[in-house]
Amino acid sequence: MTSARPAVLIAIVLALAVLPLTTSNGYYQDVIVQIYMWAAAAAAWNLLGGYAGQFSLGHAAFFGIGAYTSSLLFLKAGLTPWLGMFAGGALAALFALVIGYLSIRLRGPFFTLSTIALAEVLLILAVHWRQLTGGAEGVSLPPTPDPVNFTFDDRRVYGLVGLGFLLVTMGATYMIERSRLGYYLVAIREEEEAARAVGVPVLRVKLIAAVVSAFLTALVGTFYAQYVLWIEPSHMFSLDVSIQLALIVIIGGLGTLFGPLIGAALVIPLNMFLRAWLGAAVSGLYLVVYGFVLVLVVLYAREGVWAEVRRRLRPAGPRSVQEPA
Amino acid sequence: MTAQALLNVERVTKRFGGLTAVRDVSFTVAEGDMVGVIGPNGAGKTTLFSVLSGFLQSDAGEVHFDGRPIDRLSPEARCRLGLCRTFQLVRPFGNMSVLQNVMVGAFIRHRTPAAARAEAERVLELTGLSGIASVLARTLPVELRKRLEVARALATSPRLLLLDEVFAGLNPTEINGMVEFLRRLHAERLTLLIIEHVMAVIMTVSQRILVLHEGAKIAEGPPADIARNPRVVEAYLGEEYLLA
Amino acid sequence: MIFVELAVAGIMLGGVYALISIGLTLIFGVLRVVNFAHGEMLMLGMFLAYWAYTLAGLPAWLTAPLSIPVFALLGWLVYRLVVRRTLGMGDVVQIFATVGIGVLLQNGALVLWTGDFRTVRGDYAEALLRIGGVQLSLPLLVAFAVAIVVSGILFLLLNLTLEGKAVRAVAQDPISALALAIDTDRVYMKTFVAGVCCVGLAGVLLAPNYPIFPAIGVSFGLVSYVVVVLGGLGSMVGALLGGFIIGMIEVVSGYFLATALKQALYFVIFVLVLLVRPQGLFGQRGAETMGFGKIV
Repeated sequence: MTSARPAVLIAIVLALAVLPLTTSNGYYQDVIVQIYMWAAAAAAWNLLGGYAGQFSLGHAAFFGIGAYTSSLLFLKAGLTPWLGMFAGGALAALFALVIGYLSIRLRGPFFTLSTIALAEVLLILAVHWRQLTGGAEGVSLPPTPDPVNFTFDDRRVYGLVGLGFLLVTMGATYMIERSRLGYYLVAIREEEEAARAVGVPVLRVKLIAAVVSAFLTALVGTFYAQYVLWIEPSHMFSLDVSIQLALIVIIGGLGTLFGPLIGAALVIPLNMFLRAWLGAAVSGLYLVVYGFVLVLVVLYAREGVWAEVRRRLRPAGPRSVQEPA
Repeated sequence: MTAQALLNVERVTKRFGGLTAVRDVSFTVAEGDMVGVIGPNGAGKTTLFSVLSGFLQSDAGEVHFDGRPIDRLSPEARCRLGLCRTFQLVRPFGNMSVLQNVMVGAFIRHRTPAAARAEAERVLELTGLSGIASVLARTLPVELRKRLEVARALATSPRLLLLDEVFAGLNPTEINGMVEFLRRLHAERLTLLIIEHVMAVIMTVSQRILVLHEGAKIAEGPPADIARNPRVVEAYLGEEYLLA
Repeated sequence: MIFVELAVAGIMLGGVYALISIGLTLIFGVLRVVNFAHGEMLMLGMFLAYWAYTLAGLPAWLTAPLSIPVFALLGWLVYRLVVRRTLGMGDVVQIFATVGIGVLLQNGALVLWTGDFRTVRGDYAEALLRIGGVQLSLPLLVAFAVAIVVSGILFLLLNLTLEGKAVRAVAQDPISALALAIDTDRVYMKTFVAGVCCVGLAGVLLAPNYPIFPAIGVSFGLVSYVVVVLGGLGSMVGALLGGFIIGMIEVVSGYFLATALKQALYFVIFVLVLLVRPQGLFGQRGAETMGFGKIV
């Protein structure tokens, strides 16, 4: 549970709000926007993965549903993405509810396998249902700045909007942590059987986490669509997206409020640096690094890099009673 | 005093492949009872508890709680009805504080965090754990973990509590403390079904004892009768625990 | 006539899937580890066959036995450095350690060899046999035969040799096996290595029949999980039968359904089996508790 005082939290929020305004370099602005965006999506993933302990590698599905729904509603029905976003969220939530009802009963790795399969299905659907989704070529959104329809010309504005999304997902996390749902989530993660023995409705709790997570992820999907202005199946529904979300949270600290932000602040600049340094010629190198880092972190710094660093720096704190054998 | 059975166990059987862990066991527990369950290692006691609390599905037989059949209910559903269990190998929520652990139990009847906290604090007071309310559960020694396990179960406002070897690993002083504690709970109209290996305790604490051996119930009665029962003594021959 | 063609195609495909899944069910059944990099190891086998042919003119059937020491080394390294440290460590570690390896392997291949589709050509690769009225690819027949032979050998080893019994003991109850002074670490290591060798071999033998590119492991990997879950963990017979069933389903449904629906069908089979009969067709009881989690 987060123990940070409100004053500290407010200070952090203000700092994040000011950050996009401190630079006029387009590249750095892009980095900041991407950090906020991916941190927001990762925070949504964190609800299901970090808090409920169900590790989805199919979250790209919700990301894609959000992006496609708002974009198609805009292009075909003229609905502003500000509203279309919620339609996408609702659709993703429904999807999570229906599929989750079955797959959440599966144990750890099997659940993960089923989520990978799901995202695959959606990917194939998106590619083949050309009349709806434009097939493999994807869908483009008009680049003309149009705030009413969620398009801006100034990256800094995107930065602030992205921060808004981040605050929504982190805010949701914060509120959940303090609620009955939050206690139940941690209990399940700690000792699922013991939680059942004291009446925690495990399936229902996990399902709620899945639905909220899906909804929020879809919202960020819309932001992505409006920022990049071009979406296509192999980007939106790819396993790489899902892995990036998981990696961000694992590095930053699973099941913590700031984990996603810390993780994104580390992973996204690394990603962009690798891409810039090696260029498109060696695509995939950043993923090699991801894979390598993922294995290392998971074996040697399971609670996240931040937690690991703190543990090394702080001398053994006072423990009330000695550890049992 | 009504003779209404709170728990009615009828011919419950549980098999694991070729092994019959619980064989045709029947008994009843009335409201306000304090019943002990004993038997040599491997007698099927914990398996019986797992079936009663819903963690295992029985292969035959029926269990009724408060008149209702509960065989199809999940552990969490049974807990909501008032049937709660503790584990032999205690399972605290390690990264939560003592208070938070108990709150998880309290949430079943108190929906808001504030109400759950109040209830949890009341239970901590009752169980003598108030002093360590903010201590992280995984740093606790065994005795306190056991008390926490019971406290957490108490917070669910159970009507019947299944305690699995709650005395194991405690020293004599701690045992006395726990016995006193259970007596107090019982005095508050809490019905208890207790698995125990520590003979001295179970004999003094229970009103009635069930003896399991190789999955079957071989005896049932007041402690004095059980201690003299030749079948019971025979079942324990070779075991460390001789009946006084 | 179409039925015969479909049936033959289904059986052949089934043989492919069976071959791929043997290694997986072994690893899965004994270590209870879901190796998310399984498909990527298959992919490496395919590339090995490709390079062996392109650089040295070796046909796949010759590369096959030569691949075994290569994959034995790979399996050993992966086990010692990574898998061993994930046992009993909970879901996060178990899942993401092998996911990481899979990502690493797939993208490493992408960086080294680009995403271009490559094919193995040559006399062996393109050889066809006529049996009955049907034309069959020789490499595919060989793969089919190898699947049966390898699973047969493994089955005999597991059931008749002392070593094999130790493996089964560890699979059923690692803690008791320890008590019997069985070196579980060695058993795990050997099993993992054997499993990796199997899937590497599968990749080599299947290289002539498929386009070879880094991402090819993904869909094969997913299908092999459906096969193993259907057939039952740790069961050689299950891997074979499961492979054939899935192969037939794929061919028949491919005739009627779109690709996306086929994938959805696999998902449904996967979930249903796990929910209704988690031990699959031939798996051991107690498989429902799989998903290592924490050792109490």
